[in-house]
Amino acid sequence: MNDLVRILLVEDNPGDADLTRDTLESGRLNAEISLVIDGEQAVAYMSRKHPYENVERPDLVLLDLNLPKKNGQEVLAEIKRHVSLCSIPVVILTSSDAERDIVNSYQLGANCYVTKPVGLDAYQAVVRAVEDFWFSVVKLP
Amino acid sequence: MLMINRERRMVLVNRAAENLFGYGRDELVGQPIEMLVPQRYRDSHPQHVQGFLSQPKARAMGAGRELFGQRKDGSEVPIEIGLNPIVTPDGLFTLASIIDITERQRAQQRFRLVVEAAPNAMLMIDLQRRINLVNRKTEDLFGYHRDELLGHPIEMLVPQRYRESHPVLVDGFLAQPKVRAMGAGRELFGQRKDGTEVQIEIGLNPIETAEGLCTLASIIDVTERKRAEQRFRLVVEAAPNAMLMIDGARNITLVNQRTEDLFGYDRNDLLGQPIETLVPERFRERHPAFVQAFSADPQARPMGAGRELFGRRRDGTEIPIEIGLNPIETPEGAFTLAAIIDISERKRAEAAHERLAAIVEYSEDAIISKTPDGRIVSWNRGAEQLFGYGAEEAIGQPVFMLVPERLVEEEQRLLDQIQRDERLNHFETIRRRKDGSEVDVSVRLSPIRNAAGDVIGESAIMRDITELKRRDTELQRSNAELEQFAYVASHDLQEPLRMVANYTELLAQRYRGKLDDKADKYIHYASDGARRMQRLVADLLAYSRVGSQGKPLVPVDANAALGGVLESLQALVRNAGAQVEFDALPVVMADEVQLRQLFQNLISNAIKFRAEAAPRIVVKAASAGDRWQFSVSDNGIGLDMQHAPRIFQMFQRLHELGRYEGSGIGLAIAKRIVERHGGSIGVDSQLGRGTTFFFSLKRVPKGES
Repeated sequence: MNDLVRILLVEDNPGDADLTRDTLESGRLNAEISLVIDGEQAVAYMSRKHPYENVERPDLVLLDLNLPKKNGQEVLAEIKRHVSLCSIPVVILTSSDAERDIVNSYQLGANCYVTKPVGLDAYQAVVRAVEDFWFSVVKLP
Repeated sequence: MLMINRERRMVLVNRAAENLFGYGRDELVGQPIEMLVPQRYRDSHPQHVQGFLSQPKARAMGAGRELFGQRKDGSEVPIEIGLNPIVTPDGLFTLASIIDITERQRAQQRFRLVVEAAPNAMLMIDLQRRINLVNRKTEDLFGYHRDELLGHPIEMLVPQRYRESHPVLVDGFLAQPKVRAMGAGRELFGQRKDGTEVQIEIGLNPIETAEGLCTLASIIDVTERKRAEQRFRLVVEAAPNAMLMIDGARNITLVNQRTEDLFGYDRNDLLGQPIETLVPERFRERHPAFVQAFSADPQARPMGAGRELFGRRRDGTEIPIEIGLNPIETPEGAFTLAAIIDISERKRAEAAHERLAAIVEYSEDAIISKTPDGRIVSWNRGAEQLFGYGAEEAIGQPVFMLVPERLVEEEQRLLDQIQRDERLNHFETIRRRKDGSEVDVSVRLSPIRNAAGDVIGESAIMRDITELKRRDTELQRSNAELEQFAYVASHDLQEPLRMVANYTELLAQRYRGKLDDKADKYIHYASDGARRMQRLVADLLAYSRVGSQGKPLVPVDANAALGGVLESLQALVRNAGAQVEFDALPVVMADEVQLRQLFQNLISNAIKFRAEAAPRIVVKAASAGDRWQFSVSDNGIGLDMQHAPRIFQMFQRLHELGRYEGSGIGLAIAKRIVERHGGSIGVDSQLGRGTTFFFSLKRVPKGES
């Protein structure tokens, strides 16, 4: 059994959330997936504000851009502004492939930007690749 | 009067005789008559008296000789003497009636002097047609000395061929002697001493003289005048217009070649004919009155006083003409010279001009013209309607009165630009009406040139494009909305579609073989349909992006664009064993991303629809005016040209589903890209032989690189 890895999934689309969770959980890592479904929840979760006072800090954030209440870029900006949070890798996982969104996200400190691919196989492949890369290839603090 | 006796002594004198000779009666009576005879005749005088007495009968003395008396003071006086024998019981006496003819002689002398000094040749003949007076001019004219003429018959000056008939003519004159021109219009000739002839005119005057009725002839050498007439005829003949002359009886007396040409008559058919021959029937009756009116006030002027005039040709057709009239005075009377201009051409030109003017006048477009310094010269109804100014208000005004003040500077700049570059002559702008309101117009300017090609002004054709603008704006808005709609729709459709697709696939992954065969089949249909729909949505998105995500056109090297495409298609090309050839391609105005997509679509299309043989694709470009015409040819399966229009439509496919991959968007996108670039796309193909796609792209304008 591998070490436990904690992933925060910020996704308002339950279908995508389930698919991502399903893919991650069926992978070879021992992943613990937490799901929040809007921007405010994401920010509260990360800063352990109510009702998330007792959660563990995630090792990786999978962040959708198109979110209710607070959009993904605002969430990203808050995470990266926070000294204690900014070292946590944030992967943007979104259906947008607009140039503007991509550039903006990297400027705000996104660690990588992935467009949700069309087709189940591709989707699963991408999610696995992200998982592999961040937990097998690179060294995290 | 005085009377002498046989001894020639005066026996009786009267008061008149005293006065005439200056003697008193006492000094004369009883003295010989010779005391009154000048010395030089005295010796011979008694003989004459004797002669009379031998045959005494009343008669004039002197037998034509000139007689003189001698006065007491010794001076002489010219006299005429009538003699009468008077028989009395005291014997035979002679009564002499003496007339002082000093005055008459003076008058004769004056007459001779006048004749001598006359500017014309003058001569006089007596009843026997003998010449009894000539002047210096006569000598000059005929070359004879007067001594050779005086006393000779007038016929010596008449050419041989007329001599015989001449005396009859003279008798005719003498039978009715009155002042008149000789010859009654015939040409007269005189014969000189050297035998040559001279054309003359002769005026005749009957003159009573002491010697009886004489005829004074005044002779004019008309050689010069005849020459002038000849010159006149030549000038008329050579005149560039038809010319003819009529006499007082309206008969044609002269025509030139042009007249023959114009009316289709030979001159011999016209000369002597009334002028009405050339007048259309419907005017003939009134014509003589017009001629008469002209004769009453003859002065050079155009005929017809503004009415339209017509001539009638020999073949009955009519021609519009203009006529200038000139009265001509000649010795034969008053003539009228008419210069006739065929104005058929001008009439036709006028008619054409009027048509053009009417087209301009009634055009719905405002059509105005202006001088080079910008003053309005013409103003049609369309302009009245568009701007609200009447022609009389607008003409002469500066054309800038139609330009809103804030646009004047810009307008001036534009006009300057147009003067530099004649191609830019069409633009859209705003104009101001008389009431101050503004109107959107399209303006087309053209220089107006004279026959020499110099610019003498400018015309502007303006059209109210308010409605056009409104529709244009509406269209743009609706296009943008549609584009936005397509983009948003396809974008937002993707999200739920992804759900359908992903979960049907997940179903397939997880439950294939675990349910029954039907379930497997249903899951397959659902996921296949979702996949296809995903593809359609993605294509729709790509299609809508051609408009919504397009970038401005800039110069792009087509070689680089095509090179980039071939690089990204490397695997496809290699796997198909395809060969792509292209010449050096030009730089064109394009959105590089879209140009690449265009090449990519056409080349991948060519590979997709390949025949059995290895694909061979040729890309070329040829210059075509302000465009470059590109062609992408392949040796693929080709298509039936009857389907050609369909292939550029969205989602139209010529082949059944599954035979060839793709939704049928590639060529629709290609068409959209070309059209967005201001070009056009077309196809030429033969089933089984290959296909060539053509498309045009704009050249890089001069001065831009």
